Amino acid sequence: MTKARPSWSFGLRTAAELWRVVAAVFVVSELVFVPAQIVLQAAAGEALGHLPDDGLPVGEIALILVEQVGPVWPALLTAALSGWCALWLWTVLWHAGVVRWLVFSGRRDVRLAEILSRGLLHWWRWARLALTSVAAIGLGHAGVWVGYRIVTDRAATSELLIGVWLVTLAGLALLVVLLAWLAGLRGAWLLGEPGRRSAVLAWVDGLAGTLRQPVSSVLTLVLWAVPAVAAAALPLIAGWRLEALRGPLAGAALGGLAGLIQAFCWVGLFASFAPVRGVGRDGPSAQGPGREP
Amino acid sequence: MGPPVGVVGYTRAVRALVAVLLVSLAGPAWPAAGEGRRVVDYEIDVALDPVRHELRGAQRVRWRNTTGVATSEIWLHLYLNAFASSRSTMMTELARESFGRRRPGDDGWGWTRITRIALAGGVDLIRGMSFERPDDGNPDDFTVARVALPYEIRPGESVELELEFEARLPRVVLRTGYAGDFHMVAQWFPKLGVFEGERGWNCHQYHAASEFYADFGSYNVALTVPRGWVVGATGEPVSRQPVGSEDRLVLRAREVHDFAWATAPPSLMSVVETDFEPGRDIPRIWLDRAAAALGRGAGELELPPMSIRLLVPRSQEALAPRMIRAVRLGLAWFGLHLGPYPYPQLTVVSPPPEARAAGGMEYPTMFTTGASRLDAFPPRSWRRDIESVTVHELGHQYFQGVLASNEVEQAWLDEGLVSWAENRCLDDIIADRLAPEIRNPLTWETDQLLLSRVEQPLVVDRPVWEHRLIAESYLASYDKTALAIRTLEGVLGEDRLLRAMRAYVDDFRFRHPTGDDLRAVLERETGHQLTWLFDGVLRNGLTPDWAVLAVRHRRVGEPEGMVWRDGRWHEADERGETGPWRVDIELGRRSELVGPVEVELRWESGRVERRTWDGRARWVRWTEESSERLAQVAVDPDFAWALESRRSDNHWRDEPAKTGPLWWLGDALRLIGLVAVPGS
Ligand SMILES: [Zn+2]
Repeated sequence: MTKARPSWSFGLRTAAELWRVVAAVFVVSELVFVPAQIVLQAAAGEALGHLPDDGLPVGEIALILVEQVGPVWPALLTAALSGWCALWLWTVLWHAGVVRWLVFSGRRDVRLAEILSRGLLHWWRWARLALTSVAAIGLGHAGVWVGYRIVTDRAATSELLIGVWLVTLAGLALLVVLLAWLAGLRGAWLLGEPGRRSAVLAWVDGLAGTLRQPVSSVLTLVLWAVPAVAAAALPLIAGWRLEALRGPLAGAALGGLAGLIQAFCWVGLFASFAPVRGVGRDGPSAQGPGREP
Repeated sequence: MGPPVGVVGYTRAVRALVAVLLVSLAGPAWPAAGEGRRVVDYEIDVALDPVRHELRGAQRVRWRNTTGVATSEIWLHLYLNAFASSRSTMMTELARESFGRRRPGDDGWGWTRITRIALAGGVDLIRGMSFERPDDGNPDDFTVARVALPYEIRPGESVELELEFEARLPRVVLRTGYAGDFHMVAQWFPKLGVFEGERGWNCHQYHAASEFYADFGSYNVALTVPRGWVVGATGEPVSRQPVGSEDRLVLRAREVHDFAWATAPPSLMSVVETDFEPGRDIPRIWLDRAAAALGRGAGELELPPMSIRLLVPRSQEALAPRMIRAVRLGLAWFGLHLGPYPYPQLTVVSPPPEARAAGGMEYPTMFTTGASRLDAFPPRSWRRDIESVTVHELGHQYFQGVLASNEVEQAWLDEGLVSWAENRCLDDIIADRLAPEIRNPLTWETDQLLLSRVEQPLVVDRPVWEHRLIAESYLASYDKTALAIRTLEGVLGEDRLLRAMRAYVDDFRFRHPTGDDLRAVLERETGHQLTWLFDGVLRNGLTPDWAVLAVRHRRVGEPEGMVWRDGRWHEADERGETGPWRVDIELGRRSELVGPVEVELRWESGRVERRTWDGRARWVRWTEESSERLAQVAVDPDFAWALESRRSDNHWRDEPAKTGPLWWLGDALRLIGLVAVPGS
């Protein structure tokens, strides 16, 4: 097991080198929700286009939306959920592909097709790892919910104390996500080690590694996740504050830029946790190229 | 076979009854009872067995025939028998829908039986008693009894009956019963129907969706409960004394049409005694606004102080201040707009969670609310349920308590008017930030959303059990009626409707108004024929639906083709691509419901025009000539027709927006999509 710390700068370099993967992540994230948007546009686009720009109360818009979308809600829900699932499947795929490629190909050229086919070949193993993360998040949140019930059961305590408790619980819920996420990121790389089979064990080792290096782990995650989330929120905030930025052109440009930044961040974040240094410009791999089992 | 009827000894009960009588003779009456509307008086002495959840009672009823027709029978409600078996009319109706989960369970069935009924003189009537099923003929329903009298009660005469009864409370499935040690004792005593002269006795069976209907009168009630148990009840407490290992409470209520009570051990429920103090509890801004709306001086809207008693489970004590605030705000709002609450006290009971089905129910001078322990904490504390339920049930003190309409035949008359008032009050509470915890400002929209899910025409004005589904009867009585009144407000103006509603309350205090009475008052006060509302919406299930069908622009220019000049055809000189615009605006009425609707025309230059379309024809074409194009058209731009079923076709734009109100959706989806990433 490696003791290497996650490296933000390595992630940055790797993401730049893996620009084809970044581009693929960008394209897929843009595409997955297109069906949902098409369904919505077909159902409500015409009617919504005729609504006045201002002066319509929120409740009125909500009613019109329900009126238009109501009849197609199963299709809309299916489209949105399958978009979400596709994104998940895809993330697992390129995670697996990047690990296999980096661990087993040394400094060979970056070929997208090769990365994706490797990912596809070993997809199920990394999917098990991802499912472990999902289960851990679910379990952790169930624990937080139990904590919420226990706190609220002691209703006689002071309001301040309850406030402190609720904030603590909210923090715990976030911590659960962070830990599971980090364990998954590290586990994904551990799962690439020759001879590794069990995704759950890799995840547990990932968690152990995270707990051994909590500061560098969280710091690396924050350094990548904050700009990614900020980029995702940017078009929303911009459009909300400035009407000119809602238009189809400005909105798409802004959204596209945000999507690119996000894709870069996700690839960079993932690569930052690589225990091998095979692809960097700073010399040969720590472990050398492996052999495909 | 129904519950057997027999005769048992009753010395203890009679002794108790004498005590109640003595109490009822002493002390001044309050409020000054209007003799004309006092039809039935009850004296009841009842003891609760908290282990077996049983009641044993003796009751003396004095009924006066205030109609012009004689009768030689008395009809009685035995409501608890609705919980006697799975075959009662109520249980059958509940089982038909998903409400079928609601069954009292093995040891939880409830029933009542009259063990003795006699004229005050001593003539036994039990042999002349039979069960009636006026609504559905269900032989397994025992909720209505008819008692033949040995002689006629002529107009102006009265009769006095002595009864003894036994009852077992059901496990709470609907309004009444027990859950653990908590006992909500409602619909518990043999209660007279309403004699309506030529129409006979109005005494319906107890249905799943129906509530109640009874005459006004006085109640003197003695309750025997375990020592120290807390009690919340209709009326004013007169005394509380220990008797053996129990406590005996005497209560008195005047000018009410029902009596309910709740009791529980003090370890389970606590009591908060507080008050309504007008100087402190009426928001100044409400007083000013109400005075302006009603066109009365602030001095005319003065409200009396009164006492409030709240029974709340110990687990919900943290919510008591919020409940009390809601009660005070409700008393202020209803008092200012519909007149003072006419009794000196109000009792509010919040049932414990196991008895949730007893919550949200109104009784004279008392109601049950509903809450969960978790409502004290975010995010549940952001909801407005406590205020909604409290204000709603408080509203019933007016529409049902004081204006005692028939809740079985015209449930919409009280539920709909209360739901309307509830939303109005909640709107004010939210807008004036009087309950700053509330984060959900949607009131009418909630009703509109619920109603938008019903497809076929929903007729409002029909007896509750004639609705296809219980859920539909609720949607009709509550949501649709509330929106109908809201629409009336939108079309005629809020102040005018408020004044009309105040007149309705003033005219029918302590009476039994019908839908026709409401219509008469509203038409008289507003000066409008309200056929569309009462015949269209309420009786025929119509909902309004306006639309902008099309808008077309053409250049007026010169004619093309041939021109008739000097007795012959000439070729036209010009092509018609210049000159002012001729604009066709086509509006449609997609529903049978006829009514006037406002239309807003917004021109390119920003000029705004308002017009009214009478809506009589199914469609209309307005043709305008203008140097500028029409930019936007909106039918019902002020959303006056709150009841409208399809609103997306009410707007038209010359240049449809490229970014509708959903510009954010793609970005939001992408943001939500991020949730997938930590999971992988
Ligand atoms: Zn109600």
